[in-house]
Amino acid sequence: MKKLDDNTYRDELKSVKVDFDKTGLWDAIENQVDNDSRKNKVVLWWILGIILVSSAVLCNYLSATLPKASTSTMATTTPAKSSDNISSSSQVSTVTQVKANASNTAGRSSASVLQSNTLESNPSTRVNTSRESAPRDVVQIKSQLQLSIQQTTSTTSSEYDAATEYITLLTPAQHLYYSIGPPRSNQKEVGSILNRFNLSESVTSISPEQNPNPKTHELSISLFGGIPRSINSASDLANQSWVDQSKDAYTQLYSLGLDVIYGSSISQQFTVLGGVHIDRVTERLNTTINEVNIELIPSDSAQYIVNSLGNNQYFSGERTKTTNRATTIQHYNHAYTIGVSLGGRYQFKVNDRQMVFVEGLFKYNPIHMVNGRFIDQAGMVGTLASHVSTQPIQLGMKTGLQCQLSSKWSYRIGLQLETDLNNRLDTPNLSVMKQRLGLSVGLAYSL
Amino acid sequence: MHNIKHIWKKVLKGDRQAQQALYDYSCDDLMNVCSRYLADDSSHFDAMQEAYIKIFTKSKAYDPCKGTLDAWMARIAVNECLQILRKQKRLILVDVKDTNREPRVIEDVYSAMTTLEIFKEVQALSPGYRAVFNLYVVEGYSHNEVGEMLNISPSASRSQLTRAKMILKQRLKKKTISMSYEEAR
Repeated sequence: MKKLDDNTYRDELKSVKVDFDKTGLWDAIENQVDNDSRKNKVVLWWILGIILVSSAVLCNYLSATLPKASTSTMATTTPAKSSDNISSSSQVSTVTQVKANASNTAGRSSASVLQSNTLESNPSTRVNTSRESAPRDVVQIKSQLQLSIQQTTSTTSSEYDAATEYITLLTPAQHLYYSIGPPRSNQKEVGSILNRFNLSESVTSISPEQNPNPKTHELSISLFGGIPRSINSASDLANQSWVDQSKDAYTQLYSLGLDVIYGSSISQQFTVLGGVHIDRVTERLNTTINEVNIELIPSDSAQYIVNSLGNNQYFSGERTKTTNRATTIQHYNHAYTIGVSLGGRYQFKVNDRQMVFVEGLFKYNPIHMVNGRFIDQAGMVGTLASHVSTQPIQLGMKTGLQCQLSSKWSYRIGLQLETDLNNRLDTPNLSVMKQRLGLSVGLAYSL
Repeated sequence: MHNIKHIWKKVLKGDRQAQQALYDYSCDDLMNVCSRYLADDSSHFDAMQEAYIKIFTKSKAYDPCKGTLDAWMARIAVNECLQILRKQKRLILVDVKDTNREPRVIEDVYSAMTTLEIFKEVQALSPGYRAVFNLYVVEGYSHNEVGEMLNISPSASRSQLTRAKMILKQRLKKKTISMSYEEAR
């Protein structure tokens, strides 16, 4: 710091007391401090909510997959638990066939026993027994495994070893069959595979029972990019000039959004949706403030009053210098809305891989953060944050196409329209409602 | 002073009543700072509001070893004012010719004027001149420090100050003459 040599100025200027509304200012500060702390708490709760929802989805997923794993384990391990009871000839023959396929050392008699037992136990299955090919094995092993599950008969430990050995030596076609097998396969997939091996007759008997109304769950994430539109209006004619001025001053630039949605189907066509979202709307404020500054420029050392009675006093020999300054204020306003979504989707199949969907979502936004400037009724530029309401509600509509990428993954692309349902301003006479139209791209994972 | 220390300890814990007490204690001084840098009332309010939010939320950043609490709060207010001026793009600093000598402001020129009149004359300066004048003369920063704060060179700060003082001197002089004439009548 330099040593002050303008003490007079400093002391004079520092001693000035400016009158202002102390209570009003403190109220504003207190409100903002409260808002900030509340926002922090809301963000904390929101993060906690996401964690809880994610945990629930994970638990749901695990609960859906774990029983499936235990069933398959039972199919392979149950025979090993009982050691003595060899009452089921079909079980024995299964293992015999397994050995024959695995090492090519087992006799043909065992294979014939296997075939007869299989046909006995499942008469509707007619397998072309003359063909010793992988597809035949698939059908046989399939029906035998079904039998083994149903009968849960015992086998010796050596037979169990042979069975497990066989599983490791399955052909790719067999592996494929099992991978799309009972718990998750559908009729068409199994049918198409078996058709390749001329085994269409056995499809009905070996395919699992189809649930006519399967309940599916999915988790999807979608990105939105579009153009916003601002609908500014005033409740009375006195504020109409504000509407005109704000329309000129604001330019809507772009809007972005991210949705994380959990969907649960209630029928083949309808899905209930719920999730969280974050949206951003950006606009540019461009306005000009005109200032006029009049300065006196001395040009004569003699000073005397010419017009002493007028409102303005002019000094002889002085000229006035008028400076017009137009200050253009350009500011980018960003509005973030963070909240929860609830709605539904209607979808219908176009073909095996594609579906058309129509989606509707109500979006409630407990968090509404804005950063920018606002032109008020008087034409003055102030902060936007002090004029906005806190909880906008939106309605979003989306329509588009869903394409299946695999049995689990699919993507959606569509047109999205969103509109505010309430006023974004807290001023009763003025209203700002936003709309956004754009493209939405999303990825969905079936749980 | 003991009282303000006690209040500050409670402010550090986020006590709302202590925050209000600190506000009551310091709002006049901070408003004086904001009024010197910013011309319009709404900007004063914005600057004051932001300054107090920062004081309350960043209270742990205050180090008593580096200066008094008043100076720390004033510094925050000054920074907020400069920030607002930058946002409004009104902090236009034109590098004028450095005369390398400061005009002597004769005490007689403003001795007849009230403090408020001098204050208003300072407020009437353009934002750039006003900022340099306040930072150098009133707050006591050096030209190097002013240059860093306003992102200009120290010589530009010096020239701005020279120009600001010259304008202020002329205006004060005219006011004084006008007032003398009124008295003579």
